[in-house]
Amino acid sequence: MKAIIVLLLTAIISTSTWAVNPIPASKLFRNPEHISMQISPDGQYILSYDIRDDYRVLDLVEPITGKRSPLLKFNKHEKNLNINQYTWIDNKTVYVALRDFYGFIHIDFSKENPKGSWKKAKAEGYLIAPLADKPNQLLFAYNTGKRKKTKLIKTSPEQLETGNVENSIIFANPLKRGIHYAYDPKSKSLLSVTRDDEELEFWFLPPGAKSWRSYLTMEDETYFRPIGLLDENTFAVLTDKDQDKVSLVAFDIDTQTIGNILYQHPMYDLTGATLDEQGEGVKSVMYLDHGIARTEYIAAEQKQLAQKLKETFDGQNLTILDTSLNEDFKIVATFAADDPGTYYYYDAKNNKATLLHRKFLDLEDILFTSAKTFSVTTEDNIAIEAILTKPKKNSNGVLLVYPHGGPIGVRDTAAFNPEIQYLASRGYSILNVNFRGSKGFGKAFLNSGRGQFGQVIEQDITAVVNQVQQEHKFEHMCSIGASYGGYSAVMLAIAHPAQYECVVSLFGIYDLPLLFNATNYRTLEESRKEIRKVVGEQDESLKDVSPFYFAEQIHPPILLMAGTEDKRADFEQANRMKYRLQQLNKEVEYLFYKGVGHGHHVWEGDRHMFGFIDDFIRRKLDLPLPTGEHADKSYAEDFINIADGYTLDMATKKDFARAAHYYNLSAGLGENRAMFTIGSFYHQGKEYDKDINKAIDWYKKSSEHGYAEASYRLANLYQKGLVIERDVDQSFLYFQKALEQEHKFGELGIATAKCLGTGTEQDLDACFNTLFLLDKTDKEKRAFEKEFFEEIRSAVNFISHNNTFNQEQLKQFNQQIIDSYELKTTNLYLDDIEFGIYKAENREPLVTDEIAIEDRSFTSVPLKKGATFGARLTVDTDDDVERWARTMVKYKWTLPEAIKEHSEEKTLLLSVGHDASIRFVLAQDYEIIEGDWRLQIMTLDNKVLFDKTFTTIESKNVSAVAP
Amino acid sequence: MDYFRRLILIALAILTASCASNVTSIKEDIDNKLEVDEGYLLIAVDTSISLNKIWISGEKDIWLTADDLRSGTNYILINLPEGEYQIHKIKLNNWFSIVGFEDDLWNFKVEKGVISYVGHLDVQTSGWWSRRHRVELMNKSSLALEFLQDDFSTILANRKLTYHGPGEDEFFDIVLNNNEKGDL
Repeated sequence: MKAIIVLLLTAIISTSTWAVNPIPASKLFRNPEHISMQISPDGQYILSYDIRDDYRVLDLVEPITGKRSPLLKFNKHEKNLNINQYTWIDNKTVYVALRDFYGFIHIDFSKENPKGSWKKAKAEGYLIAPLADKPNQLLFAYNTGKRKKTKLIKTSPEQLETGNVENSIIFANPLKRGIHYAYDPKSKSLLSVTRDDEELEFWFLPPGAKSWRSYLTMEDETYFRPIGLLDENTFAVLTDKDQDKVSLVAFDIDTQTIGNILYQHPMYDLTGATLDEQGEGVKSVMYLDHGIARTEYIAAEQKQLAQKLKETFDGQNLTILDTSLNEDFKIVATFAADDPGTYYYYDAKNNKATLLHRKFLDLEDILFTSAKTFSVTTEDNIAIEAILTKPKKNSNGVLLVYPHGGPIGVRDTAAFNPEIQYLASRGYSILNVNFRGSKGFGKAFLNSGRGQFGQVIEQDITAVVNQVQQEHKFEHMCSIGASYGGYSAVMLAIAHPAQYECVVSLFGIYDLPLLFNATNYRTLEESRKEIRKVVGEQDESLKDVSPFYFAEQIHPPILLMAGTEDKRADFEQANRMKYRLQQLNKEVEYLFYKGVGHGHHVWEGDRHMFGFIDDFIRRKLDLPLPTGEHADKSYAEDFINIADGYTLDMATKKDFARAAHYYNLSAGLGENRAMFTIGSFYHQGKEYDKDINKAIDWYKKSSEHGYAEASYRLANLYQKGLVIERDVDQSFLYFQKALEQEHKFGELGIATAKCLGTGTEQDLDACFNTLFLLDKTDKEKRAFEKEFFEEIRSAVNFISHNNTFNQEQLKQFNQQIIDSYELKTTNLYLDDIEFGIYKAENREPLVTDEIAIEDRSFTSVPLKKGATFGARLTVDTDDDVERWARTMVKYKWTLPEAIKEHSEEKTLLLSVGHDASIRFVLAQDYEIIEGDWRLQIMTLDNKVLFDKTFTTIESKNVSAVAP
Repeated sequence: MDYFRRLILIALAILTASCASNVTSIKEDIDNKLEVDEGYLLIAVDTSISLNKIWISGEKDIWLTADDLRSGTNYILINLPEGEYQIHKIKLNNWFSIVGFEDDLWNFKVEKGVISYVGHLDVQTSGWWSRRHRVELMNKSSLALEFLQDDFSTILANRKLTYHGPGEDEFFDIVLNNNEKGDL
């Protein structure tokens, strides 16, 4: 196995020198398929929680063979079926908690394939901890249901499943106002937190003790994170209390004081620590070193392990995710800027690692760009850490200086970052700087960034930029950033106009006094105090570092992006900056996302945003598109993402001209949906003059490139013959093509053709089977979406109006409608009918049975948007049916010749003896023309019930016309 | 900190009726509305549901009415006597209102002869009968200015636009040449 690992690593190292290709945005900006893993107590199996297709799946994995046995599977769209917690209770039992309930999976290993059986538990509460040395036993916080009283019990899964927990052992008394209980297996102590108003109090209960001991009350903002008990009076705690950096210290419970420093890094804050299981002090500490997570092993035995891991994994960054009880087996994860996460099963005794899983399943063939971390010393002798991600080949010569947000208490790391990888794969080099104010470098470093907007922070960035430029000599340089980074990007460009050739500011701030005056609540002293801690004193000097007040000094082209619902960097910030820059005739572009806050909440937003950023920089710097294996595909996707933003109401303003431009770019690179959309623009006369021939050409091109929607559209256009000459053979061919291309309605198109015998031999049985779902069970029918049934109804309508059935065939077809729609009769006669123009307030919905007709003698319709006309009819039958029996009529609106393609052929479900309306609303711009609107209403047997023509004329000419 | 708890939802039945008069936004861009001691008030109401009324008390008590309070953003330009005003009550419907606008967070001034923009009143509630709601007065001066430039360019050309919303703001002074305008 070691050989395999070594081979795998060699492959990675050798291929990483290849040219990096543009990575499609959809591969980067998305959720990973893998969520988490846990190893069984004996180390023989792994639980793996993943997303596969539309499901969240909890699998049991045999690590050596990789064989997976699904234990639980939930639809990922069901929010209440998200697994919040899962834990091995013993080697055969797994605890699983979802949002509203929990239960246990009992795994049967007696057969060849392990099989899990799920049992939902009846007793309410939550797991405190499994008991490692006692199989089938666990500690549980049981909610008795009486006045929210909690009992802390030692119990079994079976007792919780049946709800029969009364005989369980009570192992501790609960705390009053206890909000959570946890268990420290090393010290076998119980831990808890109570809340009193806004104050949190921390407690622990050592083994054998009868009463809880309070060890901390949280009063201030000091970082304080207990790791575990060193002895019965001493906690190991990560804190920066009384010292500059977050360190691991001994905290004396009795005196409430900090004692020995157990570990302190000279440069970095600690991010985690573990204690030795045998109670012999610290096992390991974690921190971010040059943006890379490091684990330093303290105990001698652990140092040996670390050395073995380093050898096995060829020095990669790694972390141990989980360990078996005897520590012989582990799950190890490797990660880096160019490794989103790879998981291995590690056999410590034999020093063997087996690949288990990747965080993203389909990224293994993609070559990511690695990052280099380094330090620069400023003039005032402060070490500033920075990260440079530079493509090994295909660099476009552009350095993007990309400061992070915050600015206080945030930092950049050299971990995998989809934004950085997106840009690097397109040729950009990206520079991140952990300037003063960044976290992880101690309190003094963090505090030295406060009140330094546009000052020390940007000086730090510039010191790093100068060194990088000296070493690398980039041809172009732009600044880009989000939130504070957006502000910083603008300030850098102002301070160094000769260096920065473009600026991209995302969700940024530009007017610092506005931070204190953005809302009425922001004017309260308690709010302003918090703002001052970051920004500095609220005085006139803030204007000196607010680009809004000296926007005339911004020279390079600038792109502003923001969310209209941003309440952190208030949207007003971006809008007033845009206003001012436009007023000063600066070269500004902006894109404001509707309904978006301080960042996108759906990946589509990020894909669009970064596609636009790349396009903006290329346009401004006049850069060619990258070439390479995936370049066309990736840019086809980027351009269609940009185009969609202008049509789908994503940005604040729709812009079909720009949309058409980008759809054309995308189509030129082979994107079939873009070809279809261009066709639809010609079809609808949107942006281009209406041209059905060009529309058909684009639809055909799209269909040839595999777009099923284009094939289906063509099939319907040829079938209906309203805008092009009817060609049933062509229609059938395109229905077939749509089906081959897996169009969701393809089989309905084929069925329609078979009913009508158009382009194929008539086959009513085949048609009925598909159209009326005759071969489907009720369960299968329920699985179809509403949209599918609507398309069936549309097909039924079309066949009903356009068939050449003989009497027998018509009878058969109508019988299917009767059965399918549960009609009681179709033998109808007209009992009453009124027609005319409808009152405006009754415009919606189009067809209703609750209407009022304003003028019952008019067939002349005023030519204005919203004008509504039609008929209200009541049908009756000679059949012996119950009152208001369900029935159906068909009707047709034939529109004036110029817009005949929009004519409607429909059916209406109604009740015998109950009136119903069929109305037409002039809602579309193209409908505002003078002409004749003919309404025909018929029974399913083609008996004409009503036939009248309405005429639209300019309002001043409307006069009474005899019915 | 949850400031929004200060506002409460109550049933209207326990309140006495007010004698405030209904007002609707000026529709036409003609600068002929102001009496000698009056100024224009520009307020916007961003609301997640259509509201019934908003009571503004002060120099003159007025109700903003449903036509100006539809779901979305509503800009309301009205002429009012100069003086101090306060958001007093938001009627969600005939039965429920949001009240509790006691402190000066909800106060604003209307200045004589000018357009006083006092903010965007942001009303977010999950429904007419919901007890969960959030009300905030926000400074969106640039959006207000763009609205006036689009819809009331004549009045804007005649009158100084002044910020009288939360806190202080120099946006209008920087982007507009306010000094040349004033009382007519």
